[in-house]
Amino acid sequence: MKRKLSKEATVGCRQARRLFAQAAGDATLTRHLQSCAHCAFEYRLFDLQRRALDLAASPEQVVPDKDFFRALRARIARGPELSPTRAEESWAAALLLTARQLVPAMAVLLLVILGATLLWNQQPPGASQAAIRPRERVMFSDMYDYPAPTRDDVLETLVAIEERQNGK
Amino acid sequence: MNVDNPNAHSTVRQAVVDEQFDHLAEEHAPTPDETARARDEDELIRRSLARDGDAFEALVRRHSSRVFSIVGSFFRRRDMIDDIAQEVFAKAYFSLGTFTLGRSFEAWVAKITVNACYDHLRAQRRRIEQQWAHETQKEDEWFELQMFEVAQERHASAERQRDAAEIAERLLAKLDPEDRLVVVLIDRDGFSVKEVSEMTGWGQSKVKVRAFRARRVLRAAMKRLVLSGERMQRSKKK
Repeated sequence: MKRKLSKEATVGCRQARRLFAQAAGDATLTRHLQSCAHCAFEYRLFDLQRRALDLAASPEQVVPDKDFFRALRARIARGPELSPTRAEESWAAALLLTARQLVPAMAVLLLVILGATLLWNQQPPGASQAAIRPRERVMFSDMYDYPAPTRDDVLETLVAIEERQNGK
Repeated sequence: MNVDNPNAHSTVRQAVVDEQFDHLAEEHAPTPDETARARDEDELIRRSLARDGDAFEALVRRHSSRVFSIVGSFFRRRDMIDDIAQEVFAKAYFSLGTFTLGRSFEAWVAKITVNACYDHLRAQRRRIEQQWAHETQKEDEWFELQMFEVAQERHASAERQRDAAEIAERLLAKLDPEDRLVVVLIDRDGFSVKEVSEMTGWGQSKVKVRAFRARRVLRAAMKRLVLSGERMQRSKKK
C-alpha cells in the first residue's frame, strides 16, 4: 500500500511534461517541479508562452452589441466586397515578398551558371574528343560516336596489349 | 472567476469554446434536440438564401459567440474584433449559395472565421515588420523584458497589462502567420489537430509541423527572456 502510494505521488519527467498543459494546481506535477529543476525551468517557459498567448488575445469574451448588427446589415446592403486585406495586397507587394525569399536561391543559381559558362569556355572545341585514349578509340569506335582510329592508334593499342601480356 | 489564477480567464474561455465545439470533436448520433435544431437552422438558411434579413440575423445571433470567440483569440482590440466578425458574416451571407444544406453551418462559419483571421494576421505582420524595421535588437530585447516582468506579476495594473499585451503581440508577430494560427488554436483554445485541420483546410501533418515550429520559436524566445531577466536581477542585486 505504501509502495502504491509513493508510486502515485511521483511522476517522471516525461509524464510531468505531459501534465503541463492540464497543470493548474496539479499536486503531482507541483511535487515533481519542486524536486526537478530542469522540469521547473521547462514549466516556467511553458507558462510564459501561455501567458504571452493570453496577453495577445482579447481580455474578455466579446459579445456583439446592437451596433454590430446595424453595421452588419449596412455592410450586407453595400453588397459583396473584396476583403480589405486582400485588396491591400498589390502585385508589387506579393512580388517583393517572393523575391526576398528567392534571393539566396537566385544567387546560388547565378553562381552555378557563371561557373559552368567559365568552365565551358576554357575547353577548346574538340578537346574532349582528343582526350579519348587511343585504345578507347580502337575498341569502342563502332559502339560510340568516337572519331575513327588512326593507324598509330591501332599500333599503340597493340603495343599496350603486348606489354600487359609480358607483365610490364 | 478565480482572480488569483492567471489562467482562470483562459480556462473559462476554454470551457466556452469546448462547449461550442463538442459536437465537432466527436461524431455521434444526433439527439432529437440536435436534429430539430439542425432542421430549424436549415430553414433559416433557406430563408436567408431568399434574402430574408431577419432569418440571417437569427443565424448570426446563434453563431456569433463562436465567431467572436475565435477572433478574440487572435486580436485584442474590440473594434478590430467587431470588424473581422462583420467581415465573416458578410462573407457567409454572400457565399451562402455554396453551403450544402444538411451539413454543419457552425463548422462552415468557423472555417470562414479562421481564414479571415489568417488574412488579417498576415496583413498585421506586414504592418508590424514595416513599423519596427528601424528598431535595434537592443530595443527589441528591452521591450521583451518589460513583457516578461509584467507576465510575472500576478496583479499588474491595467496599464501595465496593456503594455505587456502590446509587447506580447510583437513577440507573436515574429511567428509565421500559419504557425501562429495553429499554436493559438491548439495551445490556447484547446482544439485538436483534427479540428484545426478541418477549420483551416490544411492536412493534419501540416498542422502538426506548424504547431511544432511555433512552439520551438516561442520556447526559444521565452528562454531568452528568462535568462535575460535573471541576468538583470543579478545585476540589480550587485
